[in-house]
Amino acid sequence: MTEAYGVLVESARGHQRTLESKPRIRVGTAICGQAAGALEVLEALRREVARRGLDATVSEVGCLGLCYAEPLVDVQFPGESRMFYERVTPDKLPPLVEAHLVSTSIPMATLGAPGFPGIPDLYDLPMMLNQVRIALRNAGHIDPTDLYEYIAVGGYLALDKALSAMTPEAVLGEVTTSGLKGRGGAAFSTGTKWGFLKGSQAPEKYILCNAEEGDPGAFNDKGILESDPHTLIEGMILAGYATGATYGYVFIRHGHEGPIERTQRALEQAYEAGLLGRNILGSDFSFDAEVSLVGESYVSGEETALMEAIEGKRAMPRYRPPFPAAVGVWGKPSNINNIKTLAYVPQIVSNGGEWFAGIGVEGSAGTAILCLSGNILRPGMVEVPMGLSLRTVVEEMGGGDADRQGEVFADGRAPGWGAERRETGHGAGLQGDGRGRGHSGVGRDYRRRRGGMRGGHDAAAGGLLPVRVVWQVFPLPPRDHSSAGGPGADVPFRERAVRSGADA
Amino acid sequence: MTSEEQINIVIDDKRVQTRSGAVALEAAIEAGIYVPYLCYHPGMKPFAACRLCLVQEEVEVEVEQDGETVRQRQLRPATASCTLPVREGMVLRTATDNVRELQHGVMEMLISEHPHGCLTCHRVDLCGPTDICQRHVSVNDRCVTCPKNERCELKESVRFLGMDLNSPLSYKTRGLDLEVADPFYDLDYNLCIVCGRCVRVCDEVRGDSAITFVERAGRSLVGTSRGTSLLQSGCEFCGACIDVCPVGALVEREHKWDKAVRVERTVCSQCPVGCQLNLEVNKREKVIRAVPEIQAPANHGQACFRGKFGMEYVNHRDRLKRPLIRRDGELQETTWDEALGYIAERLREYKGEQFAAVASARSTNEAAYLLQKFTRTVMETNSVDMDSNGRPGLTRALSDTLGYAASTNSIWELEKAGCVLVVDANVTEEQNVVAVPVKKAVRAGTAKLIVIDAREVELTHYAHIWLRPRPDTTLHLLGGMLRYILDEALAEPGFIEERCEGLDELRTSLEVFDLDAVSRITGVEAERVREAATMFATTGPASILYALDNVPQEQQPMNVYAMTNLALVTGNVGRPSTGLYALHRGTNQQGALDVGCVPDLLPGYQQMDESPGQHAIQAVWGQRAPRTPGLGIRDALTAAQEGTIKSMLLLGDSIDYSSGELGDGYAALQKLEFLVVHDAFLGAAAQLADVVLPAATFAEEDGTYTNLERRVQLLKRVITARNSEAKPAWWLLSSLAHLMNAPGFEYSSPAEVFDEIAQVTPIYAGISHGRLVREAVVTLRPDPGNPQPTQMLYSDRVSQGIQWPCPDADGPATPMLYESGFPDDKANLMPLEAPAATQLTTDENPLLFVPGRVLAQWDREVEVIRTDGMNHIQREELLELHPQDAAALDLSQGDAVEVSGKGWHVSAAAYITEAAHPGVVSMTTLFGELAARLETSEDPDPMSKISGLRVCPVRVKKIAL
Repeated sequence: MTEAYGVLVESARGHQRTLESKPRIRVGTAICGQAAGALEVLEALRREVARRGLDATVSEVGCLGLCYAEPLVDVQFPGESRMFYERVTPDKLPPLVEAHLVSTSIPMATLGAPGFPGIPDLYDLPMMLNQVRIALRNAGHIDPTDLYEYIAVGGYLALDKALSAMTPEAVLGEVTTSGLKGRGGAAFSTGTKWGFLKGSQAPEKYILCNAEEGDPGAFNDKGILESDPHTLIEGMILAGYATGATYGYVFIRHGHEGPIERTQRALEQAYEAGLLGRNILGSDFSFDAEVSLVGESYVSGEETALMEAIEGKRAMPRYRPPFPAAVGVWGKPSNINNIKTLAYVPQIVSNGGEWFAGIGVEGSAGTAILCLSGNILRPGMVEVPMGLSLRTVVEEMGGGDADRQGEVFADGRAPGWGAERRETGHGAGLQGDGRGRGHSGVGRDYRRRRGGMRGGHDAAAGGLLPVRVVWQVFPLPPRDHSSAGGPGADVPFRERAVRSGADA
Repeated sequence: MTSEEQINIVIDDKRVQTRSGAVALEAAIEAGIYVPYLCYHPGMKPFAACRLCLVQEEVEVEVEQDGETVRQRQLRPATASCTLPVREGMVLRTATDNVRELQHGVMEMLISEHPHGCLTCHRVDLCGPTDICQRHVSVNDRCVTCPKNERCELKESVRFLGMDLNSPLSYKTRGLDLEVADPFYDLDYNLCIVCGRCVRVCDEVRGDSAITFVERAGRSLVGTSRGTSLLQSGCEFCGACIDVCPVGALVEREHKWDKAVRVERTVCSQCPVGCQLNLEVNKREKVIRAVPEIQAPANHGQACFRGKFGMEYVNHRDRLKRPLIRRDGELQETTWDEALGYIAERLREYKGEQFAAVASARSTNEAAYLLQKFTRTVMETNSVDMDSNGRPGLTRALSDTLGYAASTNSIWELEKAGCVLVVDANVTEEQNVVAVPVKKAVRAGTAKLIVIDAREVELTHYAHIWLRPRPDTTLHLLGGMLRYILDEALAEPGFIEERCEGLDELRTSLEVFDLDAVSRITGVEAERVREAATMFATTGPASILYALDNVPQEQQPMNVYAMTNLALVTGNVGRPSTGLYALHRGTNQQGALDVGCVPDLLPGYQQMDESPGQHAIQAVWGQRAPRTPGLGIRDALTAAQEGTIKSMLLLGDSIDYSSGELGDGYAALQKLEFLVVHDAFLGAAAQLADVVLPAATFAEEDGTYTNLERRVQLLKRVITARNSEAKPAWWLLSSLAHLMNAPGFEYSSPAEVFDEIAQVTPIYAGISHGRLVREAVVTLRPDPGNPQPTQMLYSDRVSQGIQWPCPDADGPATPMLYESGFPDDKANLMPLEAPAATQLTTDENPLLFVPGRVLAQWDREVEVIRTDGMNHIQREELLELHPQDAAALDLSQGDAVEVSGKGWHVSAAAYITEAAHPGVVSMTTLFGELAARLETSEDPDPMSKISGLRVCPVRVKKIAL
């Protein structure tokens, strides 16, 4: 452990002790919470606490993923578990505070609490049941605006480990071993991609983080930035260390105020703590990062268009070759990763590549971060191991279609979830075909449509769930026959989709 | 892409040799294999937007066949060839069924937003604008009513692909208004196919970014970023966007509908860059368009507002058609015989010191040579000069230090320079195309730009360091930089040791230029001078461009010495992308100097004393030149004023005698007893003449120009003016000499004149018209079996010119001087003398006025008003002045002031700032104003009347609003 990190950890622990000495009330104020009125709840809560003169800390946290339950408020007494209240409104607050904090009884049914006798466990909730939270491990638990809280839960430990005990090659090796593939949608091996940048001898190299996320219905990138921006920053620094890059850009879509503000604040804190800038944690390694905001256009999410945008130009894709690893932003070699990809990196470095490779299924290591939106019973953000069937996610975790007559759509340009009509009873594995582990919103259309998953236009006309056209859903691999079953299981998906369309 | 190596590929079974870093499309074009394309354009980065240039690569793969592995050739999916880098051994197919099918699909989409009723009709070549169309294609939508008809690349591509009637006739009409309010351009974005060439050329090549894409997705079009007029968006009206537009969207307003019957290539006569232009001529022998030649060595397909839109004077109806002779105080038409007879008779009276001759800035080498030969042998005086020679020191001083009186390197080497120093030069206006490689390199981030100029001109906006000294103190600044470089050991001792002499004297002379003193005198912070000196010395290779606009004439040679010293001590001479570029203004000033059209030198820079060269000239001429140097243009005008010169012969009148640089020229001309003017127009000087002879313009004569990089290029007769007796100068001078019974003027063509020049001018010895024609780059024209795509319409043999010295007929030219040494073995480091403080102001006009002109000022809004359908810039100009001066004039911020100089005045608002130098006021106007004025000017040749940005004394007074 470096000396500088030791100091940081000490301070973080001290900070944490202070926090834990008093009752804490957390309010989820990510965008999902805000949409449900979390800011009013927060204000009302602060007013209430002040009015009663309670000695309790009110803090904001990000998104726990239970977006359907927002605004989500939880109360935690020193040494006890958090107790969650769902769908809190300002008018419910005075009795809640009165009962739980003043008279310390539990006044109404709570959503759940981890390990609290007599109250359902949070992790037994259907939505939490199958989750393996790596990138989202801190989401909804720590205050995203507080660097010490992140450090107190092991933040920047991976960076410290890398800088003090690992060579850049070793970091790159762990990432390669982990089998991590790009979460932007192309599912290209991250280790290989970093290797390209590492191979370049240029003095200036860039790490770009793509948080443009213009896909309707998807909010997992924004969710990470709002809930745990430091995990991304740590991932970026590690990427810089592994590849020899010295500058990073987080590209966020203009107008996403919450993520922008929290990321910027996190960057400032990291600079103050010596985690960014010259000689990070007293090592020889230097890395700078900034947030880049450019105009709203869906195309800026394309990697080279994003580079044009960062350079202040009109976002238009460049042709390739040259590839970004040779000529990227400002004409310098660059590596661009999706935010989810980078968010995995700290845990991979901490726990080792083998650990990550052991999660998920062969060829698709790790977890998938999914957003459930649309006319689903429990919209939210989940992180599940690769290989879990989409049916499980949608039906069991998401609670299925709210009025029981919809279709499932996987959004995102290239994720290729093998989603299919429910009627065929053909559950599709999340591992997809090796291409399918992108960023993604998963949603349901509210009305029954003819001919199976036809796609975007009708859905857009329906006004609820923009969905792409059917040919973007890739054929399933014939590998997993046993679980597939049913007639025509070995027929490639697209054909089946077409065929069933014809049947109808 | 740095190291280029030869690569062999196969395209359509044809072996093609190309270079690494090239893309497949380039290789195909070079090999004469036509692949349709619309967004690619030579000289710009590929864009891959139109998706027409598809090819398929053929690869060998291993396949399993009946249990055996066999190798099989397979076609890979079609890909755009403009972004496909070539690889050794690559095999490409350009015309497979798959490619054609895809191209048809792509083209159908392209024309779905472009009127295409005619494009897809088999009668496209048969119908006229008024024919009744059985397909009901509106007259407005017909190809035949498009200004670009038959120059349209889209049409050619459709023809090539053979699109047929399958396409639906209706297309998505954008319904946009024609944009006609800006100068020179007519823009019809209804025809745009959004290939992006115009946007890219403006950004990548010209470095202006005046236009960009607007809107998104299906509504993407070209426009200015804020939807303003081009006048406001920083357009320099170079016309590059028009030249690359493949369709009728962007066209020149003048002669918009005229069809060319032939295209001839010649050299532009507007400035000394020597751009080769393809002039299009209509059936009435009018020059209707100028399109810069892509293969031309000096301009690489670029031109400027002067070359692109300044050719109209050739067609002007006010052109002189017949000689005029003064009878009873009136100029009356006469015949050439009578006029020449009269001149011959009269000139006999003025032989010797009473006569002086002046060549025009646009005179060809042949005309300038004959004029000096005529003056020296027939008129027996050395008083011959050229009218643009207001700054003889500019190039001449280079010969004192380096050897040759000429710029050292070629223009496009600037593209690869690491650092460019521009000293008192308004390059973007005066020698526009020279600025193109500079801007390109600066924007690409490969070059640093240092500008020393008191004026705000376009390049100051691109500069990494802009040093803004008091106008008359440039030399101190250069001396300060030089001293800092030597003191801080930033110089290249090896180069100095080996190739220069005079370092010690130079060091001694630099003692007065210590940075504190320099900073005090120039008003530039010492730190900035240090920064500039360090940048120049350490960021090689470095080039220097200078015009010394703000330096008094007598100080110019010393300034040139200072800059030569800078180049020498840093080793920036005789290497690629280094050297000095003297930016003089006369089109053929370099050539006129080379052929001896100056009062103190014979052709080829030979002295008048008993040198061997002088004897050679005597042998050819059969007569020797007078021994005493004659009078240059300034002195001749003074002498005319005083009455010692009584007669003059002027070729051309493009110079503005009233500009102040040459004193009151017209008054002097008025005093002459006998004045002959050979001019295309009845200009101010011609009106004073006794005999006026109609001159052929550059477009009507054969000959050569030598540009500022010493490149001798051929002019070609483009038109023969109808109903006109205008004659070129060489013919006039030969005939005149003949009438005066002088031998040695029997020429039948300019080529013969040039042969004589080559005889007497050693540096031209290996050059001839024949060689200039012969040594050309051959660009491929598609063979007759192929359709003729417009992309290659202008391609054939493009003469590259020859850069002197070229002493042998089969010897090489010299693109770069001093590569292997200096003519006098070593270069001279000239000691510098600090100039005595010059009094530039007068009691009457106590302040120095520094004008500036830029494309746009980013921090200031501009209002554009519409009058007569045209856009005009309207804004209140700001007069920058120092608080001290403001206090003396009792001015406060924003007060209305009137600035008046000699014969002009202008009003402005006072802008008081510490950044101004005390005693100096400055004002920066916009180029757009000038462009609008040029467009609406009634003058037959407005481009030649553009006033330079001269520093001059003025007075300022407060006026009531």
